[in-house]
Amino acid sequence: MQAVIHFFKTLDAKRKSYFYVFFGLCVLTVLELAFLHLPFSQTVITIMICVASLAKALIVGWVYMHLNHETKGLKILLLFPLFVAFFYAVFLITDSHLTRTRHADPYIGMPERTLGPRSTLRFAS
Amino acid sequence: MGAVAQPVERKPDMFGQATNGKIGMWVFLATDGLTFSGFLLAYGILRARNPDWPDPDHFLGITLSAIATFILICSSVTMVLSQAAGEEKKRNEMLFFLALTILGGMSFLGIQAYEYTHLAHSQGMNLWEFTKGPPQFASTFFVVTGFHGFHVLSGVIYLMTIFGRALAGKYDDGNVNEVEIAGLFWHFVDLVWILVFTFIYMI
Repeated sequence: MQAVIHFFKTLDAKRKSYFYVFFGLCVLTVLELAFLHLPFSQTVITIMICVASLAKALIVGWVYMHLNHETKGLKILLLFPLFVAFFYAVFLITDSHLTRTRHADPYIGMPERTLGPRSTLRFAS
Repeated sequence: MGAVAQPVERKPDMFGQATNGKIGMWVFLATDGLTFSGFLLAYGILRARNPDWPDPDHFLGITLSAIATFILICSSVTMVLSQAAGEEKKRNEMLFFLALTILGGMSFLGIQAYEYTHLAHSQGMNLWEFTKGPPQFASTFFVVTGFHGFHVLSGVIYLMTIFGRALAGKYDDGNVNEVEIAGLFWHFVDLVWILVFTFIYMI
């Protein structure tokens, strides 16, 4: 332990920040695994895990990919595809909903209990 | 006589000190990110529409993939350390950390190969069918993780090339732009895995 602390003290500020981020990422990963065992509803746990992993992804982009040192121009350039992805998601999800209600699903509107045979119909080998 | 051709000048403060290669890599990564978002969206839609979708926890090993995640995060650290050493003209330190990064990537690929073999044999999963549930579960799993694994493989080959160039002394003057661009790709692979791990394995 002493050796690790000594090694850490010899590092410059830049390398120290890399190691801080590394520890942060490890802690977040362990937290994500711990979230799975919390006595909350599935939705709450899912949201917590998603937030933690998005935070991890942002930290990697910001520190390791040096976005913190880049100009505003480059950041705007990278924000543009996010808008594209957003509309991509909106259209795909809307489309999947519409095709389901119109053509694809003959069981739509039927009571919930009839969902059983539907699955066997679809996935019977 | 026509006008002498002038080199195209970029607005000095638009991208600051970023080289053309670096901007090119960022644009490529943005498009690559869109491909991954397409795969993940398709996965989400298929899953939301299917009431029989199994709990991933029952079939996929979270512990093994958490170890793989840890290895990728470690390899990201060694990559930035390698670049930092290169900037300070410490060639041996740069080569050492670059080798560790490559080793991390190879370990990840090894874990993935083991995982695929295990899933095929004991869970009956392949790209087309799944004996214990909807085939889409297996298909989306292999397409998303396979596409990511292909990126890791490309990254390992890319980093080996950079390693060879570093060994030949191409970056001895402290200009590590090429290492930085390769690093961008490698960190992106790590970043995507963080999201894939969450969406495919944990949720």
